[in-house]
Amino acid sequence: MHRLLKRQIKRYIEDNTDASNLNDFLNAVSEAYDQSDIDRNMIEHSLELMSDELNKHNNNLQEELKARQEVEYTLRQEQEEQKKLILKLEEAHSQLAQADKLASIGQLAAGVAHEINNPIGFINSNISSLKIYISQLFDLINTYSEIEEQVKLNSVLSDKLNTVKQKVDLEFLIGDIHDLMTESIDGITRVKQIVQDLKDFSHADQIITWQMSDLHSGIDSTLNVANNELKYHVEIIKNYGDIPLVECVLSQLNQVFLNIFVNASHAIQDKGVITITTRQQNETVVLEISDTGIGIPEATCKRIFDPFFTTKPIGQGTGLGLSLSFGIITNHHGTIEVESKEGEGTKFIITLPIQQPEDAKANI
Amino acid sequence: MKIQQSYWTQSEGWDTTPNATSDFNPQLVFIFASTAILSNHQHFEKIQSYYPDAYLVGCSTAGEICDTRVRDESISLTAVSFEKTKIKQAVHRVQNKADSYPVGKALAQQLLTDDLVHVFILSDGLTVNGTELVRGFSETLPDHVVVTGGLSGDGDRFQQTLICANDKPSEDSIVAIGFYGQHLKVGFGSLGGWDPFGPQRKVTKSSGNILYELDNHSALELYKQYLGKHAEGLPATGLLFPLALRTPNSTDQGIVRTILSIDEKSQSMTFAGDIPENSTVQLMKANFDRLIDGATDAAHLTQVNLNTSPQLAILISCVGRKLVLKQRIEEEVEGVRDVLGDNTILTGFYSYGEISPHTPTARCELHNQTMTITTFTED
Repeated sequence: MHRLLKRQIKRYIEDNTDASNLNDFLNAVSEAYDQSDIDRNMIEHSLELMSDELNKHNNNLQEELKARQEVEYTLRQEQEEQKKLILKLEEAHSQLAQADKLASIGQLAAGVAHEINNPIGFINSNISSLKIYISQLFDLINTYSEIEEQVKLNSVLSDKLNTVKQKVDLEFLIGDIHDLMTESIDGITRVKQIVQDLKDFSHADQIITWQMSDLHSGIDSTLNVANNELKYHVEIIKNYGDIPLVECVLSQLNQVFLNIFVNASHAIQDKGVITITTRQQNETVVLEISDTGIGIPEATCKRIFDPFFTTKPIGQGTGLGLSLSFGIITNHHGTIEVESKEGEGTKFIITLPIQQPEDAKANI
Repeated sequence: MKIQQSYWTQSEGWDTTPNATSDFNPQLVFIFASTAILSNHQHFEKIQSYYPDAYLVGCSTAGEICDTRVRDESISLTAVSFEKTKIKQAVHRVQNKADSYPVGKALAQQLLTDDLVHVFILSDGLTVNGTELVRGFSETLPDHVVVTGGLSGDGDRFQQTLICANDKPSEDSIVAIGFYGQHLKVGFGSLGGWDPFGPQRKVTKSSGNILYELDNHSALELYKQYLGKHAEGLPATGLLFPLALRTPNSTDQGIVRTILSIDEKSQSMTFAGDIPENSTVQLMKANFDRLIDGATDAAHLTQVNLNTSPQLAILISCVGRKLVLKQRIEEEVEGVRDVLGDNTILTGFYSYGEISPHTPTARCELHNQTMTITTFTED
């Protein structure tokens, strides 16, 4: 029997004999039933409310979690971008260090060229004088020889003269001195040209100026500077057209040419050809420099003018060459384009206006 | 210790007429009765005539305990004659809640002497901030002097509570009894048995024992939702859902707070103890068996340091338990009886707050919704 019923029976029936207590007993039992219903309803009601509340809490938590996850995702993305940026910065740092080194070497070369220029000048001048003096001396010797045939010398003097002539091999001497002088003049002229080209190329000691310049001479002097890089495995074919002087900063265009030549030389793995074609096209001059190298993959082609983009191992390429070239050509109000086919070669097409717009020559 | 116990009801009168004799002249008489009966001063005067030499100490209740019976609208009278223990009474009135702490201190100081072993207090149940009152006592008394007691009740009406301290019962009073001497052994225990349920909520707006908002929503509104149609019965029906309170940084199981009154105007609820901001609360619900187990376990706690069955046990149990257990309320008193044995006199009342340490080593606190037992034995 239920404990409460037992209690009710004891209180209202067993402990009392009064008949009216039966009513009290029934009232108590009924009240207990009612109370039980009320309690159960209350519990059910509470359960519903609680369940609602907990569901709401749960939803809130889930939303909070979602928001947090989104924040976390964004943070992670930012972190990855930062990582990439750090890597790029590291690369840029090493490339700038390399560029700095190259710039120093350029300055050094310009300095050396400047120092060599003076001695080369007087050596050149002396050799020219020497050539004249020697020619005069040869005239004198010829005159002596003619006189010798006309005047009968005594045998003693004649023997002495012949002995010296045989000893110095005058015939050979005259011929060889001529060759030596010609070669020396040729050599010194070449040295002069190289020094001049280095100076022209670097223009380290010049203020940037816009001048009407001969692009062919610019290309030639650049080829001369790059000669060491090219001479053993590259044949240069020049298809120079009839082009006018172009208003430009030639030293900067020379840098562009050098970049293209060096890149072409690297692209040519065994032996190959660089063809330089120039022509006038309306108010512009078009320069095409093509090589028979390995070519550039299509994906890379799109990025070659990006700063710091390089396919060369760290330390070998700055990744700045073509982007600087792009900048230089843009500043000249020209265009530079690339066409390439893997395995066949690459062609750079540079178009430059003959005259610069009047108000647009600053900021180089 | 000699004890005489009797009860009075309107229909039956005294079961046995209280009477001091030459070999039974009590120093202390506990009177627990309903507010209506205590308001009738004739009853007090009658009792005073039965025991002219005793301290008459008591309060209004939400139910009187006499032996294992729980009655409403009765007087439960227990006269105690100590053989070796001395007692002293201190009384104070509290005009407003803010005075609770200093009054607690003042009362404790009045009673404090070297041989003080225990303090039992009965306090007004509506005006006094029980938490602050207990703090006043705890901070003044040495560690070995434990305070137990309770806040007086007024059925499920929450309108007027009375304290009786050797004078006609009055409102806004606190009476404290000091027990002196080494021959008195006191046991105490306090346990609830309510189960927390539903989400944990943060107290976002409160002031002392007045609660405004939980999780930034009106606390009163929450109670109304849960009570449904029983919301009309507030504040009494609020007792069905006490709050489990855990203060920030606390590691213990927390304490239980029960509602005393509501204020629709300020949308606030007043609790029997403080509800500090930033503490965590959870609604609690009753489970009959666990409430009864709680009472039984509280009785076991009183026995921790005592080997023999106590001579007197004062049971102070919360009105909330009575509202839930209804006809089964006596089961918790019978549970206590089973533990303490047949030789113990049981008296007590249903209260608006219980005062006791949780365990023998804990700090004294104001509790709600518990069965709190204080036992006395003289050797």
